[in-house]
Amino acid sequence: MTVEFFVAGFLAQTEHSQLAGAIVSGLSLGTIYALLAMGFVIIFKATQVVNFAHGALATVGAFITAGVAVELNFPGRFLDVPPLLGWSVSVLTALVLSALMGILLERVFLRPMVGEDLFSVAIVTLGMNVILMTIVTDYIGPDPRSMADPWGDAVADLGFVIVAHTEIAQFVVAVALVLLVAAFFRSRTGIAMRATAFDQEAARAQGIKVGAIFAIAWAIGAVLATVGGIFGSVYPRRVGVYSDTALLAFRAFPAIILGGLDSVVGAVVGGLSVGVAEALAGSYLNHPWFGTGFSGIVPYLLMVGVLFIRPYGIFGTEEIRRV
Amino acid sequence: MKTNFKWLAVVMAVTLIAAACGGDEEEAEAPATTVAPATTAAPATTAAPEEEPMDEEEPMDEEMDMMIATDIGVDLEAGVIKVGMLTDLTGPFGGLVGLVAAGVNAYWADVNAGGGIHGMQVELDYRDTVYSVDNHVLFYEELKDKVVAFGHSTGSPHTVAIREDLEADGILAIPLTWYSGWSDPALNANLVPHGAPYCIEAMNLVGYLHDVLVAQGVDNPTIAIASFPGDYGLDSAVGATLGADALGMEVVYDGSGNIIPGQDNAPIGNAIAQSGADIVWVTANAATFTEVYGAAISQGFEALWSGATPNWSPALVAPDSPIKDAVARDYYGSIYFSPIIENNPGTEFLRELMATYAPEVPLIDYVVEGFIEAMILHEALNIAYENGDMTQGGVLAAAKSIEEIDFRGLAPTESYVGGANERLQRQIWITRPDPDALAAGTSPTGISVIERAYTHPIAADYVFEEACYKLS
Repeated sequence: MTVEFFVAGFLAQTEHSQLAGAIVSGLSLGTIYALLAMGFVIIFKATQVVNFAHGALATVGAFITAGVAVELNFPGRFLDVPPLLGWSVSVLTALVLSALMGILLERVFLRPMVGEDLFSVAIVTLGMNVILMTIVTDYIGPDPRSMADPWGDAVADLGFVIVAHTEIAQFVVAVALVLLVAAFFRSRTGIAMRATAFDQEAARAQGIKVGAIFAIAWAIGAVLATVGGIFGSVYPRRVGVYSDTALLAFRAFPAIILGGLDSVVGAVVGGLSVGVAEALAGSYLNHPWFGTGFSGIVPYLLMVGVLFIRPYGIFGTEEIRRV
Repeated sequence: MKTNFKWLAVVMAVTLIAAACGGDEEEAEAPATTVAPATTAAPATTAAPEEEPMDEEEPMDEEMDMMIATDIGVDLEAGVIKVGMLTDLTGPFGGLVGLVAAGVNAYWADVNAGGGIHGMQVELDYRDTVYSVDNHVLFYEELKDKVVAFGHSTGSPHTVAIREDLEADGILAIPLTWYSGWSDPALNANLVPHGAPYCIEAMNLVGYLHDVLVAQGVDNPTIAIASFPGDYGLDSAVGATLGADALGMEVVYDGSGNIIPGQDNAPIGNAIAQSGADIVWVTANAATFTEVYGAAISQGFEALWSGATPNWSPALVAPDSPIKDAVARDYYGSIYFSPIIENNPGTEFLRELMATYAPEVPLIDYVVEGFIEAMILHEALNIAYENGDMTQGGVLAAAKSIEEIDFRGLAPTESYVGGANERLQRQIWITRPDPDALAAGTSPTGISVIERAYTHPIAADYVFEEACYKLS
């Protein structure tokens, strides 16, 4: 309580202080990174595949959401429902479609590669990225596709900082998804996925349908990527999904490595750390001495610094091999 | 597994740090998403339609024909003039340049239908550079021995890359870029730039907004400036800084070159909000402008915002845009020529031609740029014919002898004779967002015009000596 009092007092000394603004902005960005990183980690954890098409999944997922919510106006065209409820149904519909997309991609592109060298499989995901991005960029065009979210440009004044309603929604959704993912890994299917991640052959011998586990992992990964893509495409960051939404996933890579490539907890911690570090660097390390774009380097410096100390990331699994 | 981790970490770190560090002028310097999607793919050759032509040229005089000097790209016997077009049709600015090309095509289709240039049909030979400097140079080399001139050259670094070759080969090119350096005689020997440069555009708008605030009783308004790096962003930011200096305005935040596409630009918006500036000048594209603007207004910040033309996208004031009311309240835009929503002989001529030759193309303002480029080349070819010299060098000399070209109200008149200060275009159109007009379909770009052919005294008095921002 005392600490909270002093923090609030410090922040209140400067109304809308740059520090508070930077931290909130960083946490908001970090939440998006965390969502993207979690999806990436779940796919990697279950299948050992480094998914370079994760940005494309985020972009396509956000584009599908815009399509369902705006172009199809579902369910608004059939039912007169409150905006928040209507938009939530649109998003849930889009998430189902995104999950199906993930399953389809895994079945078409990745399943035939099971047992092949992981480097080759990673290259396949690069190919998937090019295919998906080419198609979705063509559909999106030069202007953004609106998400038509119910919050618009509404903000909440917390006294020491102003936060957009979309950012509050983003925090709530992210926490809920983290809890859901944690619960999933304690479920029967989640345990099967952990077993598959540990040893695919042993899991198969125990009767686990490894192919189904791969499909589920890609479905969850696509859903998390879509949620990240949606929140990266709304106010105050954007006014809709652009094709460059995919860059968010590439910017999330340091968070993934920093947290540990196979750790969901690491993805969350890494995402938030990188987001805050990037925002603080953007706010305070902008002296001409640093040159332009220095804040974009900070996440990678942070990542390299952590890897020097912990080569597997903060929460990554250390694996010892007999030489 | 350990090896995999290390491999992955090293590859990602090196690749992505390199990507983050690369100032990436190509990506940053030019407009990205300011217009609605283009539906036109530029054909290699304009086809002469069967409709009654609007502007008839004198048929080619055979005796005159005997006296015309030619070398490359003009075939008097076949009655063909070949023009090269170095365009980005499918790259990052494909939507924008596709509209420009549609305007160029419609214009030449009409000229050809009217008999062409003294009986000679103009054929446009397009190459799609995909906004790659390498492709630009490659296609220049491919076309330079086939065409009499380049009717279009997309991009500043791209045009810089062929500038010395243009001079060595003695060929004319019409650039699609508003870099102030093109007004420098040391750089523009083979170019005919048009429209106010980014730098002058910024001076005009900063001056205009300063006057608006002073008229409202604001003493000593302050300004915040943020931009892309590269010729586009920094040329414009320098213009805003020069304007602020001339008016005695304090620059309370200077983020010149700090906006990087693909990075988190929210801190710039937060810093602008913290600065408390009365005027904000941003040179970016619509996507990154939104990041900066959204971050600032989400902190409760209000000011007069403005920026270079490519900031604008009708999506900002679309019915489902969360920021349409704020943008309508805060933003002042500009454009280098008369928007299509205006009524003047030029826009009426353009609308008629587009309806005849390209009815499927949306009438978005970049079509006007296509007409302007085509009208400049048309004038140059006519003069070259009259001079009896339709060689590459003859067409270049003809273009450089144009004392005044009248665009029928589509754009301010241009001149390519006299000193740099006489030639420098200083007029712009000032616009305001108009969500209602966009929703009603009366303004496809969501703007209304508040000042036509406007020049602020600080832009009028500016003495041009060299580019506002020097390209390295």
